[in-house]
Amino acid sequence: MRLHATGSAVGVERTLIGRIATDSSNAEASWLWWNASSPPGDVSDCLGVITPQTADDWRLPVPLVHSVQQLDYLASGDVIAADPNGFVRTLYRKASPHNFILMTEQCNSYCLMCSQPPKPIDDFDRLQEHLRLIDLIDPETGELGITGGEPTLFKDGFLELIRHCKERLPRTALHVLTNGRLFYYRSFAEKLGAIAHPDLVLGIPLYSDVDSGHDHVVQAKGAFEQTALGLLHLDRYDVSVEIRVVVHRLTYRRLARLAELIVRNFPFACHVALMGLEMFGFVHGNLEQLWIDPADYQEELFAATEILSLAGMNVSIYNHQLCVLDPRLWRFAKRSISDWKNVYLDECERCDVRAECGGFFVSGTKIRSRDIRAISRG
Amino acid sequence: MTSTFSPPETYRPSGGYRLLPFRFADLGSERRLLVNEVGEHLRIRADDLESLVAHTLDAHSDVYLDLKARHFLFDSDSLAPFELLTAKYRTKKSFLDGFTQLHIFVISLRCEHSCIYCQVSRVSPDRQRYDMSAETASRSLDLVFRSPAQQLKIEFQGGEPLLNFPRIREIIEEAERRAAATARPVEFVVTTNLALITDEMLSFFRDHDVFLSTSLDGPPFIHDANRPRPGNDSHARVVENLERSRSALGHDRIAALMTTTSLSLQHPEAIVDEYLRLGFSAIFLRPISPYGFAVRTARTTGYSMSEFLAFYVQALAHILEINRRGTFFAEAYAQLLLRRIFTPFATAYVDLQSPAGAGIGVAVYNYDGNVYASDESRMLAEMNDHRFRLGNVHRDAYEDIFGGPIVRTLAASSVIESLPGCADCAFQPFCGSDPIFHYATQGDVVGHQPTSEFHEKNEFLIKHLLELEESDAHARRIFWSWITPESSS
Amino acid sequence: MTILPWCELQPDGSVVIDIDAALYSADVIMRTCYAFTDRSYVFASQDDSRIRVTIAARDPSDDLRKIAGDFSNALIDFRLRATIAGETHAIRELIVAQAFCEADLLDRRDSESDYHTDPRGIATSR
Repeated sequence: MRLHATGSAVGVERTLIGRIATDSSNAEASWLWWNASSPPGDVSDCLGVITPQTADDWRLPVPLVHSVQQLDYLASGDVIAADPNGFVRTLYRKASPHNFILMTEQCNSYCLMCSQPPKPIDDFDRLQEHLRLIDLIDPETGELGITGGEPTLFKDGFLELIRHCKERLPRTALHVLTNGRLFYYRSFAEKLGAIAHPDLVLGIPLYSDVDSGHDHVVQAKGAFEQTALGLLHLDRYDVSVEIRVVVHRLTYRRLARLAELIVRNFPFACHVALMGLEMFGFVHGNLEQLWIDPADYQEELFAATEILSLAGMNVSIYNHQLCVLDPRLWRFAKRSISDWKNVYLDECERCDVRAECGGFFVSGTKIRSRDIRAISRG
Repeated sequence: MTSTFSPPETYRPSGGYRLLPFRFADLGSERRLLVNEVGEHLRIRADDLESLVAHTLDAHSDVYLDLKARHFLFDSDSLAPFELLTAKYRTKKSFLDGFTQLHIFVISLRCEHSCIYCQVSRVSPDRQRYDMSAETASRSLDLVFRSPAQQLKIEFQGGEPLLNFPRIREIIEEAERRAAATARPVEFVVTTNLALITDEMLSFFRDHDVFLSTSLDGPPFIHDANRPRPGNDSHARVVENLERSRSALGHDRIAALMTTTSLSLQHPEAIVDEYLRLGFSAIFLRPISPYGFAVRTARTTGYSMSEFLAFYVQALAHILEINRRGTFFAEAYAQLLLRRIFTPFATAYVDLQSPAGAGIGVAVYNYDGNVYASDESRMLAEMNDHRFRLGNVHRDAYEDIFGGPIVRTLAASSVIESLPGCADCAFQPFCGSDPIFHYATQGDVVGHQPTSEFHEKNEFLIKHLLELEESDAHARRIFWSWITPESSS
Repeated sequence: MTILPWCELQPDGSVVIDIDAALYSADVIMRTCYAFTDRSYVFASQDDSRIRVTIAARDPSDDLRKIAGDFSNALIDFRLRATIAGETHAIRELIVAQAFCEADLLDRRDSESDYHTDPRGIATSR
């Protein structure tokens, strides 16, 4: 599934963000999704019209983007952005549990396995777009992710976004992915805590029990110190934190020691996620340093999971197929891959536990474990 | 703006390292147990310890990384070790928050049992002047609510508290009124031999969420021998009234404590099995205290600490076997020690703290209005030693009672970080002090650590639990099941 | 009883160990003596550069050779403890003080700074 497409824009003067409507009688201020060969009738109230049809002959009083392929899933209540070049982005899908706001493409870390490599651009002006998107999201939405890059680079803009979510989407759980480094400054954590968002979790990565290990993986000297203090500050101001660990060649050896560090130093973490590598972004350039067949680290993964679980912490294993996991770890495995990048192999059709298994990343089917196989419960 | 990746060397420390505070113990076989200021520990080779202290330990070695991660050394100007140690230290000492949380009301000295180890002077059931008066109760409550604690616990003891049930009822009702006014939760516990419990009492306890704590010394032949009463049916009464109480209050609202006598020492498994049979999920194995009747009848109840420890080891082994077979059953003292060794958290048990809980974590309001630093101090008073009487509710102000010279002396002489022997001990973060015990057994509040039975017990049990956890994977999992809430995974 | 090379067996059955006071401080020696008062009688005296420790049996059946041997090993451990304590007592006091104190005892101007100013440059884009 793609979350963007390029069509042909007619009369689109600037980026327009709006909800999708599929019925012209109910399309005020919205993008009308129109998939018929003849143009829609009275659309003067609409924000614009969007269609997969080749419609270069339609004459409409509102902006039009036509010849849009692969977005046929769009439904009423979804939100898109279309720009003067005809570039359409799906910002929100009402029927999906996996919605997120990509806050920025900037980052202050440079993780060796980054799946969303940072861009050296100034995109601070995206904030207005994000605030507008929040206005358009259905308040009954269960959960919304905030990702990047590094969302906290927006500083007060980040705080404003959280505040806006609390106001407009009070019943929506927020899950922010952040390296937590800026919370080294106690006052930043204090301000976030003061917002008192009713359901906010910051997902913060930690890759080693020692600074040298962690700093190397994230390619930033001082990152471990900043993240550790950030975690303490966030707890001080009652902001829920989740700790995330990507398991690969550089992190698997001391994984159990990291689990011990979490139990003794960050017992307040509401959840710990041990995650498989996503074959995207920087991973390909650093493959030799990072790749290890998951079948070869099951012992370490089990030891770490057991330490966390015995200590009463909530722990999940993400992005690992059940055939690759030690069976004692199956109860921790979650179906974690976002719908839009989740696939299964042909072989999986023969597997007895396919329904419980999270499957693969779209990007993760070529370089994979030697243990991938259909399981027969026979 | 960078676009290239740096190798691991870029992020490694460049200078040497410095030590963070820790103590160590000799485990034999050239191994040392290192324990840091907040109880994190590591077993390393003796020669690695020497290298560590000589500053020649290899910074690339696993043992170096382990020591660094657990805050035994630091090698940069990072604030993380300092901030984390401070946070953890604060957590370990958080039992001090709120000052006096546990308030014991000795509501009556009257009792119909004649337990051989009884720690109060026995008075037969019909002497009313050994009951706490309404006025004394009211003044005592005044002091209770002066405590800055966020949560309060009022525990009724005796004699047999139920012999003065009307006063219990009054105190609970009054305490609830005052608690509601100050928005502070109060928990109530009544210790009782259960023999005299009525339906009226049970209804009241149910309506006010009261916990009960009874005594169960083991199967009838042990329990009844330890705890005589007219008709010699103490055990039968416990069983019958346990059932009634559980029906009225809920299964988990009644706990049991046992006292170990020389007779008990011969039957560790039988005692544990009796607890299991009667549906308890934990037992607290503790040695007899050297006070009250126990001292006077030392020949029949007396035994050495090493005899008790042999009994404990057998009982614990039996308990572990029960758990291995699938039934949850904990030993309460081990649970306490394990929580202190393996988690970053503090424990509320007043008799294993530094500074000691006596006078600061707990206060005892006697039937006659005298206030004592602990239950044991009151027992000493019954033996005519009033050294640890803090004051009287009718005469003395809160500040003089809780801020007076006795409380201060107890606190100052029970900070084990500075006591001889304790100051160097590797197990210091896991242990605590009991100045009243040391006064009673060794003649002064500081005591003599090498010959102290308190020291002997804790050193032995801590070492025993550490060994089991390291060597026995089943024991490790069982211990963790005792010290943490169910994980949600 | 065969005696360890650095110990002297006295006619009355007690064992004497002469300790170089330049190598082991009086404090280290006294701590070690204290630890052994559970299993033996101990006496210490000082004469110029030597501290003489005398160990006597509490009970005729005591193995004084073992006790003296354990004492000698313990001496080394206590010396190590003194070294560790010497190197770490300042930071220990700081940790304890900071744990109980709301004010900032360590010069942590850094993490107390304004995140807008960001003196450590944490929010620097790559």
